[in-house]
Amino acid sequence: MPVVTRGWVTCAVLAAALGSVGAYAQPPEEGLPSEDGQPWYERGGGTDAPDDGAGTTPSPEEEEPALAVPTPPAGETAPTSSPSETSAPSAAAEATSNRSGFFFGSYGRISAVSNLRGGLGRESDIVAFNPRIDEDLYFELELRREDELVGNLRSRIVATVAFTGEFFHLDSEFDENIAVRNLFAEVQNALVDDLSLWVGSRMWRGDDVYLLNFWPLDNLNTVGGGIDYRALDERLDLRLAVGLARPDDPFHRQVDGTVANSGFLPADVVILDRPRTTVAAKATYFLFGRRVERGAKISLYAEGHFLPEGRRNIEFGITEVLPRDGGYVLGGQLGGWDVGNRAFVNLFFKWGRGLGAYNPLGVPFRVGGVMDSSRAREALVALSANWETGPFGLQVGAYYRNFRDADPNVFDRNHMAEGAVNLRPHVWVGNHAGLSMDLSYQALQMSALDEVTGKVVRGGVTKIGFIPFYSPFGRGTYTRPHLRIIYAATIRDDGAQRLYPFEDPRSRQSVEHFLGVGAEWWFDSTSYGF
Amino acid sequence: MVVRQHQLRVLTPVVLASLGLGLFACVDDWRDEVIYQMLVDRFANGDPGNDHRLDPSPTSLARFKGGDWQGVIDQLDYLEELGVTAIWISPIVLNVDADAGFDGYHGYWQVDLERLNPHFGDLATLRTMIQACHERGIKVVLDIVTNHLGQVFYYDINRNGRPDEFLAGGYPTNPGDPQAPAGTPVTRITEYDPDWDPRGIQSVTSLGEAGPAPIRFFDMPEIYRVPPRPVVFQRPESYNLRGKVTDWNDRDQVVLGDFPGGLKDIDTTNLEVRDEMVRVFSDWVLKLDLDGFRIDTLKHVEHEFWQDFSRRVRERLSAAGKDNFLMFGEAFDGDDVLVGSYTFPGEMDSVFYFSQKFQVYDEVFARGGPTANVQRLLDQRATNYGSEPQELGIGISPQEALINFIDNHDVPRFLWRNADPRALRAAISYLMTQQGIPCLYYGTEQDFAGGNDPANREPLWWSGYSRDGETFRWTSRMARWRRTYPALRRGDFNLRWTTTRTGDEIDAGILAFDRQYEGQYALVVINAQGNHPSETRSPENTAMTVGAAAGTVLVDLVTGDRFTVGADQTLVVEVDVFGTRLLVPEDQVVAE
Repeated sequence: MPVVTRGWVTCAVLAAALGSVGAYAQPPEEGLPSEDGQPWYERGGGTDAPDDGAGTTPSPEEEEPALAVPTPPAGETAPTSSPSETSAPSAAAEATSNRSGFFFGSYGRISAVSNLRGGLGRESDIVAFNPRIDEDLYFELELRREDELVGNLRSRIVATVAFTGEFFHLDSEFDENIAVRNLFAEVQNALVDDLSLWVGSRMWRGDDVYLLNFWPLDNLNTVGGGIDYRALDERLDLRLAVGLARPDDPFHRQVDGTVANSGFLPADVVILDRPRTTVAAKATYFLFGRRVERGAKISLYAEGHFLPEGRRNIEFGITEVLPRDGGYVLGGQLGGWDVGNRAFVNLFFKWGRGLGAYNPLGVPFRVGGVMDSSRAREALVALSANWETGPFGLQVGAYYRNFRDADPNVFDRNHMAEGAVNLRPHVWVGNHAGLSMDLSYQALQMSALDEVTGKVVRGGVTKIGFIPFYSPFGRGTYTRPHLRIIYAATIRDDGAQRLYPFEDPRSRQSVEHFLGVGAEWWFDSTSYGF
Repeated sequence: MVVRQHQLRVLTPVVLASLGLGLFACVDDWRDEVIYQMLVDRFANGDPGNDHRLDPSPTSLARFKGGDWQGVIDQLDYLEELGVTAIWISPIVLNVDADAGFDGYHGYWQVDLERLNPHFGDLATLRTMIQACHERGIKVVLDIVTNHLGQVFYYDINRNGRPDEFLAGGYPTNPGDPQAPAGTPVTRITEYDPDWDPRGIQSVTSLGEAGPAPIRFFDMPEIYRVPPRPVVFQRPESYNLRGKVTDWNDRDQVVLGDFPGGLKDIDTTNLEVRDEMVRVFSDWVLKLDLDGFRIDTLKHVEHEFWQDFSRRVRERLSAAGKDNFLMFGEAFDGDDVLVGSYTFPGEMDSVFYFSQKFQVYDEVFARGGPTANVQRLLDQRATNYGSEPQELGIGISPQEALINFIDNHDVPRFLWRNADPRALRAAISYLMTQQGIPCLYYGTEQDFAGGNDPANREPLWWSGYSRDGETFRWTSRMARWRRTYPALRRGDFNLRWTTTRTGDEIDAGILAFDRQYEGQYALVVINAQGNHPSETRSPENTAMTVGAAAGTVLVDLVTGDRFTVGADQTLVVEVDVFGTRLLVPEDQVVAE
């Protein structure tokens, strides 16, 4: 049996079993062996499901998270970003087995939604990682070149372009927001078997919480390189990546115009240029082996963040020193799966300090004279689970997060606790249609006091939704594409309404509707596990 | 094509000069020169490559028009034919490009004293221009400014960190006193250019004054409105910070106040400022092989600065082999005493003869006033002007080397005051023959007639660089005679006839003088009024006496008429309205 699963992030086997498949490769039912005699989840081929770990839900996401309406602090927005790299490089390695050539993959979702008040439906969340039933437009296009070389040596070049925002047919603006999400080259089985090297710009991430559109643990977007190694008869995955990120914001970069040495046009001078270096390491151990019907894994994860000292101009003659800064993330994940029941559960833990408490592409908060992030911290617990039996299924997503920014204020809107619980039971009607119900509750509490109530700022949002859908590739929670009708009712409590500016109608609306049609697809994309 | 060949020809000297190999051009006697003042932006456009932000409208004379140093190179034949032997070019250094809808085309809004203004070309072109001038015997005088910079900062009077114009006042005069006036006067304040305050510009809040106003430099690199250089000018202590001059009779304001338009007054008592002034401007001389400085706004800087600056510049240039370097300045004032005060030992080689401009060229030639004004001024010269050459200077006393001019870029053109070009040509006659150094403002030869700034700054290309006009040809002839007859350049100066009469009298408008130099003799008789021909005799029939010996036959170079000096050295000649007779002894006439 060919080895087809080589990812760093584990548990994808079950995810694959649960039906995250390419548009042109319907996974066999119930994990039965495929035509070539292999279990379908171990079969190579770019259109198959992620191979590498239960809970790796194929749900890429756009860079900008669907923020809670009262815009959460930048640090909070960070973890939600970016498509999954779930079992990324290794899975693609599987995809390359027995073939060379150009490959195309995609993830996307699109919807046309009304708020039943004459306007477009929109997100209505208050927490950073919110239930995704009312999510926005987003899609990725990926082109890869994969080659089998001598021996086991394989290479691939991956380019992924992502689009977000409102599309032309909606806003009549003939432009889109475009970003290059992946642009890297990778060599597998380089130097020694099971060793992969990659260099480039890459989304680097592990398992997600699909319902919350959220990668709780490893979720990096950097330009750099990495090494991946699988050992102990594939029971141990080791990953190491080093990358740079230099967001174009005043905390990292400042460019001033000056009089050029010649000619008439001013010249730009880079005053501040201090990229953040991030080192990330992850070790995953499969307790009962990687390719078992019922398995478990444990992951340990760490990040180090390093930001050199810098100096920027405030105005002429006044400069400001930005001191050296740093931070770390420590985390872990426990996961288990049962292929037969198409079930998995993942439990995540994360602790971040300093820069590690923020989005690596974000700007740490600055209040007054706070010039470094050493006081900031983030504690996070998250859960993702799935269970299917017969025509019934249940998805679960939840998280709790406690965040404090870098300033010493005790009462602060950037000192908060928040969380969400999202349940999505569904029932299949035949092999291609089904009905999902989406129930969620999200809540937020800040240490700051509300000037109106005299109490801490807090709010809660309950959502009830129904999603009739059609799945041409058949059953499976993670089978795609899905064509859907979506209805969601958002119910805000008083506190949630007060989170909006008074002029925003939502500050006076306790109920908001979201009704429309939508579609979601994914196939053959590294964003969800190749 | 000629230009390109010329550039090639001067390439070697340019390179050698840049290596400091002592190819400096030196002037023998500045009295031999005819200076031509040009605003580079308005003289000739030779390089379309630097035509940046031009406003092509003929009415918008406050905007860039495109002239450049390449244009000067291209028009050297024109200058040569006009008889010019020296050019005074407008400032070359980087300026604030635009301010309040006006452009810094003139060069007086300096922002970086060590960099060239790209509107006019680059260093190679400027060097080429100067070398090309030198090859033709044309000297180059650079206009420099030490008094102020452009509007590079504003006074943050209300301390809100941005430039404002606002109303202030109405503050309680004495909050505890019910009898106190209700409030201080309400005044309009502009942080760009606030009015004079002898204490220094004060900040104000809604409650009243709040101490010295801080200054904040602009950061607008797209128009070069940036913190100035050298870096000494980035320090508040390099400025006087007292606001705009509002009373020109207040000497403190004149010296310490900002020049109207927001031009920030430099503290020239600051020794670091002085060091940098000497360094940067001397460097330009050595880098470019300049022949002189025309120095702006003399009277707005204290004498001590000029004494220090002049001495140190001369010492440095002399040590580098640059002799006879002319430094003359502008004291824009009709007060002859004040103007002359900058010519005493240790200061200027010369000054613009502003008092003459007002009392003679305006009053006599433009308005038909009494030529006795000339005598009155001359009588004051020995008292008001330095009589000794400056040490390491040009070797000529200021009294003999005053810069005579009819008009310039700061005053309306002559023809704006008197539209009769014959009057202008009469003025040119005096300019070219009187004692001192003539300085002709560009466009005068083309009968330009613009009024006050900027109307008096017309592009010269509007004239087509015509050499056929009567004023051009007259100027050229006068310059040629001046060159040919050394008495007209270097000779002593003896007034032979002036008059207080301006009406129908026989001698109304007569101005006559003769000059002698090493045996050479010239007699000039000008009729400065346009009503009737006049003669060199009084209504009482007293004839003019001259310096030529009795019996000398004098030939009028203008008409060819001959006159014989009477036995008692008297001579009566008639001169047509606004006419000139230039008489030299028959045996000294040089065939043309």
